[in-house]
Amino acid sequence: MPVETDAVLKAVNVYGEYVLSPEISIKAVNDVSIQLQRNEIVGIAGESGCGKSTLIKVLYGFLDPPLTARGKVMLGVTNNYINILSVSEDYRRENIWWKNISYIPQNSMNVLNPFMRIGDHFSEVLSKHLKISKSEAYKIAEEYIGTMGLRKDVLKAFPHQLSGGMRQRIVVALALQLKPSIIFADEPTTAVDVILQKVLLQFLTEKQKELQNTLVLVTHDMGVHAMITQRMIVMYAGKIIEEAPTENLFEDPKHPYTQALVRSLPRLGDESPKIGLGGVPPDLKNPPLGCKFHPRCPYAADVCRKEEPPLIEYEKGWKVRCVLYSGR
Amino acid sequence: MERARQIVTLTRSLLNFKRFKLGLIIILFLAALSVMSYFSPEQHKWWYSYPKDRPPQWSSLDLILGTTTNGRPVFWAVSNALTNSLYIGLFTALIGSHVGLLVGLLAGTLRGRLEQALILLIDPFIVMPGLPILIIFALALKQTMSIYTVPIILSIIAWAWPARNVRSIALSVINRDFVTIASYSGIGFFNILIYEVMPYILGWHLTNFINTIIWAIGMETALAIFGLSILSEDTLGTMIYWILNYGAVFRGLWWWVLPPVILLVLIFVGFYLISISVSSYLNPRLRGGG
Repeated sequence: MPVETDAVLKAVNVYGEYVLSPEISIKAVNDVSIQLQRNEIVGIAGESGCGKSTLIKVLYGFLDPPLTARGKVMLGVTNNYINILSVSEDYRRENIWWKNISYIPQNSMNVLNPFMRIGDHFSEVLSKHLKISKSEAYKIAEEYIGTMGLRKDVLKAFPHQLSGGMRQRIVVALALQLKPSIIFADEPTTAVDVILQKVLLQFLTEKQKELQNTLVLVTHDMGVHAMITQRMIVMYAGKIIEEAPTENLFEDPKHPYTQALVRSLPRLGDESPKIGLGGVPPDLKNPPLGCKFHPRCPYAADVCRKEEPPLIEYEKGWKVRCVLYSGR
Repeated sequence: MERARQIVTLTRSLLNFKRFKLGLIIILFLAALSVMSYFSPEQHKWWYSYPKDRPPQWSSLDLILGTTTNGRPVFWAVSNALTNSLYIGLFTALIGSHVGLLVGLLAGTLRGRLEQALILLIDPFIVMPGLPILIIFALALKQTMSIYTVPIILSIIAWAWPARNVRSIALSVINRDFVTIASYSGIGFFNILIYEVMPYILGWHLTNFINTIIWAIGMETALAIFGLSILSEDTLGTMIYWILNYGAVFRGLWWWVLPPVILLVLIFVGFYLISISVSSYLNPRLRGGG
């Protein structure tokens, strides 16, 4: 794989497994390689249990037992690459998390500590990472909150005194305060109504434009992907099955699974009944042989049941994992 | 400065509770009475230094609550007994509830074998009835019993309930989103314990502390009634032991019987009122905003 100079993060053959006992392990992320460029918005799509969140955890380096990971996740730090998975957790905590990579959680309006004022959230993170006193950190936080377009007096408030949209913006501001080069947003808009969704996504994209960093958005909401992402990665059963520029993917999806995914979206003026995809996602403890998607695939042939198709380059920047496009 | 202001606000909002005010008045009264024990005349410990079985009379402070069958002034005896009982209660709470806090915190936040081991340690102490065990310990350690060893013996049992309580709160807090986010943002395990988990536990710890005081004073009284406490010293329990021993209830010496019983009731009511007002204060939404 040619290394492009402005890749901020390269993941090479990454595996993520939940080891529940010596016999049982769930292979939630299976041989994934991706590259993230500077200043782009990447979307990761897929249904529940396809390994989206686990992939984010592995790329972030947050390996809470029973999750274990293999492979290389190279993070670009000042002309140099660090393998996140091989450095110690203390190193990750001190030098990588929040400084280079940060994370916006699911259900982001309920993640603030109800016992702490907003200002203490900011100053705690600042003083831990920059090794400065709390009062200095508080001053920096006061300036910073102004640049994020929020009023200074929110710093004195407790989380329950603010509205949901305000809290979400504060969580985003917290994630961005050390100007990280990559932001992972793990389903930031799930369980939120559409108005708050729009407010949050606009805020996120605005800040991304300002900081020129990489935003990775994980969600199963195809509408969100269509609205803000530039490049999309579709996952199924722990593997990347299609990777393409968002516009192309929505216009002409290649993989049968992506086709079904895009077909499920309602379109203006389209009155034909929606036909869902039959079957259920495979059991990751015991995945099917060959292509993981073959039990549900309308085009499944004999070869699909035997061999796993490779991820092939269909066009430049457009990869798909399906035998239909392998030229056979 | 900030800390001092917080303490003032805390006291002020606690004083809004009628129950807290009443409890505080009771405790201040008990404290004043126990401070008086430091001014007790030397001969109050000696038997027959005063006339025996005398009913209360206003002539002097020594005789204000009458005298016992041993010829000792009830007032000074009860004042010293209160001091010693409070001392036993406080010392047990200092040991027991803090051991409980530590064990409970670890049992709630650690994962795996260590957690299992800690639970295996806590649970038997909760299920085992406390009094029989304490009786056995007290019997075995009768020779070395002093005002300093009784709290240690009581602490053998006292730590388990606070530990279980703290563990349940720690478990619920450690799984909340903001703790996950704190660790994602690069904050270490011990900082998470102190800054994220402790604020939730501190209030409960205070309640546990007060409850352990009540429990320890009650337990010491129970042991003393069996004659297993320090009979050479005055405690509220040993006073009751001597009362029973001399048949004071049967002989109608009410001025000897009532003071320790009333003080015990006041201790329980006073600390209980404070404990419940602290627990109802714990909800941060009830505090003033901004």
